[in-house]
Amino acid sequence: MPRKALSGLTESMFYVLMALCRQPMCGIEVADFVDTKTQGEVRIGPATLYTILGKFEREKYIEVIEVSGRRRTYSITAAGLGAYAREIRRLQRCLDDAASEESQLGRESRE
Amino acid sequence: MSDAEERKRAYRLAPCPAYDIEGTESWLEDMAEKGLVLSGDGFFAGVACFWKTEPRQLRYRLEAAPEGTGLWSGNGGLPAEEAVEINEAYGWKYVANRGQFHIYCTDDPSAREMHTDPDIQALALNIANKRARANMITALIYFMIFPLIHLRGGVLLTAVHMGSGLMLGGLLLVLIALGRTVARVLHLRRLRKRLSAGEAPHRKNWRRRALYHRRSRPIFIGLTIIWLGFFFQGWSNENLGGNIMPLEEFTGQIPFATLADMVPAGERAGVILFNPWIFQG
Repeated sequence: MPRKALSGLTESMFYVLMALCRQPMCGIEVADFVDTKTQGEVRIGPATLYTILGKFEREKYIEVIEVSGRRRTYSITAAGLGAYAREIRRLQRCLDDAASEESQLGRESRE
Repeated sequence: MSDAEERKRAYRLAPCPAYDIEGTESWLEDMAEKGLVLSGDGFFAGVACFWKTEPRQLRYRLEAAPEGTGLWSGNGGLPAEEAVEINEAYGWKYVANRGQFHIYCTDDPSAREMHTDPDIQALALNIANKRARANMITALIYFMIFPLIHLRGGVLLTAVHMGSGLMLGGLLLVLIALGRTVARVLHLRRLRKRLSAGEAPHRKNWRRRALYHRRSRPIFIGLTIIWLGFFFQGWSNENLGGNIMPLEEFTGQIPFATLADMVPAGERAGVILFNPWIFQG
């Protein structure tokens, strides 16, 4: 039976891909990037981070480009970039829907 | 190991199965509060090895192992070095394994939770659960079904030869083992649903089913050992000729007709073989 592909990204997954879009990083650098980027709003636990990295590696969204001792540096692949772009489009659609709903509500309240 | 070190150790039977993540975490934390800190030797057959220390406030977390935890699996059952490094960077130290889980511990109350995304934790659990099921099925095939089928050419023939009592006992043990597997799968499925609903359960009253677990596990292990003893005794008798006895040593009634039953009293078998009356009818 073929392995089920990822159907969507969670918030943590999205931020991990965002980090690796910027530059290749190791796990701890990814977590630090997310902390800084979200000003602590999104905090990725170490087990969550490691599970995501493993899943992304199996899905070929990322690849290891360097191993130094216990540290592995990851780089995003074309498949990973595609998944990241799809998620941005999906989130953008959600925001557009919310914005149109808000403007509709605003019109109705003025009337 | 010196006597002083030996005295510091303590062994306790776990009050819950390995797949009961919340139960194990809660029990280990309660033990630490009593001054028993899980040692690197971890668990063996449900018994945990502790160091005796001052009572401490520790947090334990069970992390589903992405690879197998057996000694013969990749990395000798230890977590990947990268995972250990990432966890250590956030204050979590790897301690030992239990079942399909790696156990981490921290004494830092402000240490970030290991799992911050329940969906991802559910994903990790799923991988461990699938592997546990596959291991269980493989073990059943190799240690019970495969030998039975190959011992006497079939389960039915084996049952006749080895004795239906032994076979019934084996069947019951297999059913109990399968029942435990089903219980584990259902437990982890319920946990996955709770995680998917956003819950992050870590505390549980492990005392509620402790007595049942502490009694049922040794009984099951004991019965399995006894059954295997009988089974291998039968197997060795069969292969080493333990069931064969010289006819002259047999004192009971032979359960089939012998030549003596067919030959008239006083005649010899050789005479009958060459008696032309037999062939002429």
